Amino acid sequence: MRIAIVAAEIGPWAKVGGLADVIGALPRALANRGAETCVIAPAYPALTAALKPNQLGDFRSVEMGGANESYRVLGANTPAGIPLFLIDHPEMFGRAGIYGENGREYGDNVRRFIFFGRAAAAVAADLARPDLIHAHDWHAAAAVLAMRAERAIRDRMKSTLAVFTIHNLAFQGIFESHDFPLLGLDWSWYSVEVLEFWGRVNLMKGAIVLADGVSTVSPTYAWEIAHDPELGFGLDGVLRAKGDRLTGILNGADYDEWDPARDRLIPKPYSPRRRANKKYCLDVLRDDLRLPHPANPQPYR
Amino acid sequence: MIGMVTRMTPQKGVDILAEALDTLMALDIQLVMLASGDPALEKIFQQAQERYPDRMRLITGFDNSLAHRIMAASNMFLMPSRFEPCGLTQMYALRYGAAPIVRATGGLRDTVSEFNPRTRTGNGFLFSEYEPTALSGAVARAVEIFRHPAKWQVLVGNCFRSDYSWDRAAGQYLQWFERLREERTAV
Repeated sequence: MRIAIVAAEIGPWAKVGGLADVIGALPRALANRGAETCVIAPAYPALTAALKPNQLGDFRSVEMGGANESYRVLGANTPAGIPLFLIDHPEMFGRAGIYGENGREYGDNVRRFIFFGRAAAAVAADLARPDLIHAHDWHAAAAVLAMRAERAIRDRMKSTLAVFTIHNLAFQGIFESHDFPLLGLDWSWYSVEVLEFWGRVNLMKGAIVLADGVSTVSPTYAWEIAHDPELGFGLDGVLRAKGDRLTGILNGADYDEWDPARDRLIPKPYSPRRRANKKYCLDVLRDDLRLPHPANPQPYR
Repeated sequence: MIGMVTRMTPQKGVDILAEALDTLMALDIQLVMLASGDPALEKIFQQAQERYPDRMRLITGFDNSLAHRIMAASNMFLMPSRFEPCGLTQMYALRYGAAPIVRATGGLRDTVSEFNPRTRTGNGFLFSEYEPTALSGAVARAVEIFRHPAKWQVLVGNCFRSDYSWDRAAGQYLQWFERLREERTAV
């Protein structure tokens, strides 16, 4: 299966939170299991400096509410051999931060990430040609919308699966309806069934509705966000309506960094077969923190 | 030794931990916290450290090396979160043989199961109600098992065997993708 992952972060080069760790690790894990996997991400300066990409094809453009946003596509491979398609629009992504700087969000994030999602869908349709698009969080939600609703793209993506994964439900990409034309969609999509949300536009809601499958990062959390209004952030009803098309898949742990048998940051390595060194680690930490060594028996002897 | 590596915010359950602290300290444990965030919450634990100088340490600020050393030293690892979409630190704790004591929410509930010494199954301890007494009850169960080294070693073995690798996650994603593909072509 050919999979195109669409996300605003990719570790270790463009990282704000846990999303970057996922996008850093998941493509390689999918590829190791035989899936042909690529990643579509914005061309941040940190990425282009590290990976030295080449331009793919001519300049392209996305029409956004009357303005033509033109961009290039850059191609590169990660050291692990995963192909990257980078959306190069310097005015939007050639900045020091991903979502903001100095503790302040950029004021045009809605415009930036609508552009990114739409450009990503077009790049998938023309260049990556995947069987499935796997979009992550609200910054990639417009890719799902374009696949299913944008006239110039949807016919070519009919047989491509759209999958949306929620990492952080607290951020949904909500904006005023006068900016709806940025999406390049017919106004009929601004309905309570799809994109309308309390008089505003909600990108994550639209992606949840239009995706073939929606996932979040654990099975229990998937149930909780669909049934507990406090955790559903207003989308519990929409999520509940997905039925068995809403699933939960746990993220993986980074066992390269976190493995007591290979960990160079701990006093002595240990493993299931050589557990005694764990007691040594405990003794050292107690000394470091000036905590007393209790007299009661310790199982690690 | 109970370890915690967390953010000092109510989401992480440190508010009920603060309320449960005196009960916990009666259980003959040591608690090491690496956490920073809400100054008011930090202050509560700083004051507790003065009350229990031999029993607890709060280290504020980010210190990756210390996070690793706490994992390696801890017998138990506490995560009383109010909610936790996935959570990764409990997976690290399992790998380091530190039995997780967690609230049964989100990814914590999916990675940790209650240890049963009779059936020798389970890799940690859970509580459901977001209440200080539920938290201290789970810690008390863990401490009780800890007093029996043979049982404890069975539990630690179960922790070591818990696999939450990216390979496992990728396999689940691919299975799900295939199911979606079949459903779509069936339409």
